[in-house]
Amino acid sequence: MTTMSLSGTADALALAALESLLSQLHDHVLAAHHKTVLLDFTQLGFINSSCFAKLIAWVHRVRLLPEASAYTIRIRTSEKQTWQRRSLHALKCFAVDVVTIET
Amino acid sequence: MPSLPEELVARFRCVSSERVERIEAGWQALMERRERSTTIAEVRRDLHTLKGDAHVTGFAEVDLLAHELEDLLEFAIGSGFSFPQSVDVMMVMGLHFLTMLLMSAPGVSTAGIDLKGFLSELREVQRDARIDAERGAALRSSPRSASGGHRLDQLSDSSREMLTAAATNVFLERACAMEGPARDRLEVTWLMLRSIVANVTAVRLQPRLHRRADASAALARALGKEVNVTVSCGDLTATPEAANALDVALMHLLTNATDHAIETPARRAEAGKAAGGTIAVVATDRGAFLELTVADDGVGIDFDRLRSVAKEKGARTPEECAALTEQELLELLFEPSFSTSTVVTQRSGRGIGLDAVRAVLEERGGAVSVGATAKGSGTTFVVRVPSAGEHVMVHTFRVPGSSVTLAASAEWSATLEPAGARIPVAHTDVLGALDIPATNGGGDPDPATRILSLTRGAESFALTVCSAVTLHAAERLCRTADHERAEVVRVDGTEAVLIRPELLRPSGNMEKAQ
Repeated sequence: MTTMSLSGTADALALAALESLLSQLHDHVLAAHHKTVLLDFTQLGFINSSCFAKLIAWVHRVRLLPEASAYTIRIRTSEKQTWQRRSLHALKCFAVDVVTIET
Repeated sequence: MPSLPEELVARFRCVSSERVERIEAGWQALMERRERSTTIAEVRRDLHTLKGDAHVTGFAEVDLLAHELEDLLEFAIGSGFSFPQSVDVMMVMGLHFLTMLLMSAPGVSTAGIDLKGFLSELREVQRDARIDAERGAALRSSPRSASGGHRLDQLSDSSREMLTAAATNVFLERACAMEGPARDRLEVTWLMLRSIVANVTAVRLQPRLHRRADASAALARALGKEVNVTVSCGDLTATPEAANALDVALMHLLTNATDHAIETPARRAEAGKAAGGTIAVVATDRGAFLELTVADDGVGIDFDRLRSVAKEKGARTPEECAALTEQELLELLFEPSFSTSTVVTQRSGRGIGLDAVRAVLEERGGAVSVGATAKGSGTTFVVRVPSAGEHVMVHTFRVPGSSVTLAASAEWSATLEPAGARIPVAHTDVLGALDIPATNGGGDPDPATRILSLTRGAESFALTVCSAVTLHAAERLCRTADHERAEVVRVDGTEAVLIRPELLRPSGNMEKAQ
C-alpha cells in the first residue's frame, strides 16, 4: 500500500504541485504493483475547485485501468474538517468501486 | 439508451463536451469576477441548451444533472456569487461528472458511477448554502412575522425527516388521546405541523417559470426572432411533483411556440403584425388544481395542414382524415412523433414535445389541451395539474380497539382470511407497535373480525382487522423516511396512518392470528 498525506490548503498556488504529485503517485503505484493508496486528508484545511478537478481526473484515470493494474483509493478524513464530508463523498460518486472514504 | 441514429448521438457527445468546457471556462471567469453580465448569459444558455439536447437525444442522466446544475447556477447568480466555496467545488465537480457521463462510450458499463449519490450531495450543498444565505439575510433585516411569508423550504433532509416524524407522532398521540383540552391542543399542534410540512416541501413557481421564459427569449434571439415572454404567477407555490410537471410542460410549450409559432420579423411585417411576438405565461390557483396557460400571437394552428400531415404520415386512413373534426385534429398534436414541422431544428420539430407534455402531466393526474387557436392570430395551450401532493395506492382497513383508519401500501398484496384461521405467518399487533392503546382489547376473537395477510416478495405479515379492506389512492400529507414505522396520508378526505408492516414487530403466534 502507498500512503500519501496532505496538509495545509490546496488552492491555486498548489495546483501545479498537486497535479505533478498525483501523476507521480499514479506511476509509483503502478510500478510497485500496489493495490491500495491511502490518502490522509486529516490535516488538509481545504481543496479548491481547481485542485478537486485534478483529483477527479486522477480518480477517472484509475477507474479506467485494466483489472490487472487496478488499485483502490482510501481517503482518510477528519470530522473536524467540515468541508470534507460533502465534497469527498461527491468525489466517491465518480467511482464508488475505486474510492472509499474513512473517518 | 438513446435510440437515435449513431451519428446524431456522436455529434451530441462531441458538441456537448465542448459546451461543458465552455461552461467551465465561463464559470471560472465568473468566479474571478470577469465579464460578469455577458458571461452569465452565455453560461446559462449553454447549460440550458445542453440540457435540452440531452432530453431530445435520450441522455436522461445528463438531462437530470444539467437540470440540477441550472438550479445551482441560478442560486449562485441570485446570491451575487457570494457563497461558500463548497458551491464552487460542486459546480466544477458537476461539470466533470457531466463530461464523464457524456464520454461513457456506447456499450461501456457505467457501473461504479453513482449519479444518485452525487445529486444528493449536490442538493445538500445547495441547501446548506441557501440556509447560510437566509440566515445572513435574516441577520441583516428586521425580523419577519410568521404570516409575512417567511418560508421554511430550506431545511436539510435530516431536519425534514425529523419534522415529519415528529408530526406523525403528534398525529398518533392525538389519535389515542381522551377527548378534552389535551386532545384539542394535540389537534391544533398536528394542524400546525401539517401546514409547516406542506410549506417546507412547497416550491415557488416564479423562479422556475422565469427561468424558462429567459431561455425562450434566448432561443428566439438565436433564431433571429424577437419574442417578449411575460410571466404572471404571483407568489404561487406547488408541490415538488406538480412544480416539476409544470416545469417540463412549460419548457416544451415555450420551445414550440418560439421555434414554430412566432414568425420571423419579416413574416410578421407581411402579416401586418408588430415585429416582436409575444408569449404570455399565466399560472393560476384553481383550488383542486393549478392551471398554466401559454398564449402566443404567432401563426396559429393550420387545420388543413394538420389534416394533410395526418394523411401523409399515415396516422389515419384518407377517409378518416377527411372526417376528422377540428377537436380530433388538435388531438393529433399530442400523439407520439406527430409533428407538422418540415424542419428539425436543434430544439424542436422531431415530434417530441407535446406528447412528452401530455405524458408527464398524465403521470401526475394532469392534462394539456389547446384552449384556443386562430390561423394567423396565435394559440393558447392550457395545462392543468392537481394541487394535491404525491399519491400512493394503499389498502385501507381498521383494527379492533381503535377508530383510526390504517393503510398499507398496495405494494403489499392483501388477502383476507376468516377470524381464527391458522396461517403460517406471525401476527402483528399494529396498535401495540404504534403505541396506541386499544380501547377494548383482549377477550375472544370477535366474529366480525378477519385476518388480513400482507405479502410482499418473501415477507408476510398478518393482522386482525374489523373492516373491509379496500384499495384507494392516498395523498401523502407528511412523508416520513423509509425507516419510520408510519406516516399520515389522506384517503377520501379522511386522515389515515400508513403503516410500514416490515417495521412493525410481530407479536409472536405463528400458527394462529389471534
